[in-house]
Amino acid sequence: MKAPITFSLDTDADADLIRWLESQPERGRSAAIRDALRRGIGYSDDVTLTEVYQAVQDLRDLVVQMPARQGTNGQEQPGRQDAGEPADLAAALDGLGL
Amino acid sequence: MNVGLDLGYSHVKLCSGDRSAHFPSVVGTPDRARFSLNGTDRDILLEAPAQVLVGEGAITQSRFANRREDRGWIESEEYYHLFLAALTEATRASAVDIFLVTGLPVAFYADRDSLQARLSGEHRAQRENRRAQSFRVGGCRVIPQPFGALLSVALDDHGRITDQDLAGGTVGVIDVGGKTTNLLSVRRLAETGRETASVSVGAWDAVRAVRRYLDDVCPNLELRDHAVIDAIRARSVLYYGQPVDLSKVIDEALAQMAEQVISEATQLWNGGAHLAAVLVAGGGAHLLAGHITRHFRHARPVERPEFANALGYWKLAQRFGKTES
Repeated sequence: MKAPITFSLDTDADADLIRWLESQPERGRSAAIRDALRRGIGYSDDVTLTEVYQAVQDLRDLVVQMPARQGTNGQEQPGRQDAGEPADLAAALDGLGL
Repeated sequence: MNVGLDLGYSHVKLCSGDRSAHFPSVVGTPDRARFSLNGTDRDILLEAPAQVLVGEGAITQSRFANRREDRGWIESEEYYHLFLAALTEATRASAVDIFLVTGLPVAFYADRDSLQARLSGEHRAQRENRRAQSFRVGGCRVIPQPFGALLSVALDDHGRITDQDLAGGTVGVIDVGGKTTNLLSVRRLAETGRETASVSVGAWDAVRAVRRYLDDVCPNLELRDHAVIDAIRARSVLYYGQPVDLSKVIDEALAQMAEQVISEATQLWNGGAHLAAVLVAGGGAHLLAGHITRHFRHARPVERPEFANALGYWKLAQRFGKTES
């Protein structure tokens, strides 16, 4: 069943959309709009800009964490006592939660 | 990634270096507004391991929302979902290795081992519109909650001692949480057991007092807990479009709460004059710090008191987790 939906465009603010709509073949405009909407909300099978952004974010996070992953894999290392730290204070700190 | 996580009855606070997260400890059904001018990007909607809305979104949108205040909370599904939600706030990475430091209230510290076992190991979560994430907690330490506030001021960002006076002295910490206020005395970074206790007073007591008042004065005004907190912050509430001043009931409630905390601390610390400093922390510090500093002249609220424990946990994690190259 068809569900016709009307919506408004502003001749100035949405001039780009009007140009794009007018450039679509007259008998294929609805299909073009449906396709554009699906891409916009991420329901398309194709890769969307959002997914590319997500992948870049993932890479950025991995790079930030690289030293940790290479060095410790999140596992505990011996506490790093600073030369200026009294030994008993360092030991108390290193023993916290054990 | 090193993470400091303070999972409180009232709010979840997470610190991981330059990243931090803070949201109400509320888990609800995944009901969503059908239309929102502000969008729903900030909502924490977990799709796995269960479909739940967490934090602010659960307060405003969930049909049914849970907020627990009992000791068994750490074994609950809600607690686990809050934990996962916090980790998804810390990073969007698909696979993350984590060294975690968290805390337990002084009175429940005996539950340390079971909490450590629950949080360690592999965890998987997926948020709406995100890829699935895998978190591997390779190391986990659970410390008495208020220790975090002390560590937040005594350690630097690498977990090294920088404030020798505080670290080497005898310090009192008053950590005013949602349900309990923890009193901790630390001598040379070791807990003084006989000077450490929990008082069943917290920010939610103020919420309950204001709620009772509103029930009497503003019939039909049904506010959720976090909306009452907003009213306490504003010291007024709108009732049929008219502001109702809450200053008197709030001041009375806070004075009574402060009296209980100060009385317990004075007794526990034998007046407290021997302490090098008294640090006031926790989200409730915003409510009670004034009363406490008037009584203990060497008391001071720590910076961003609601975040102090999480920050201290993260600093300790930095000491053991080694994220530096």
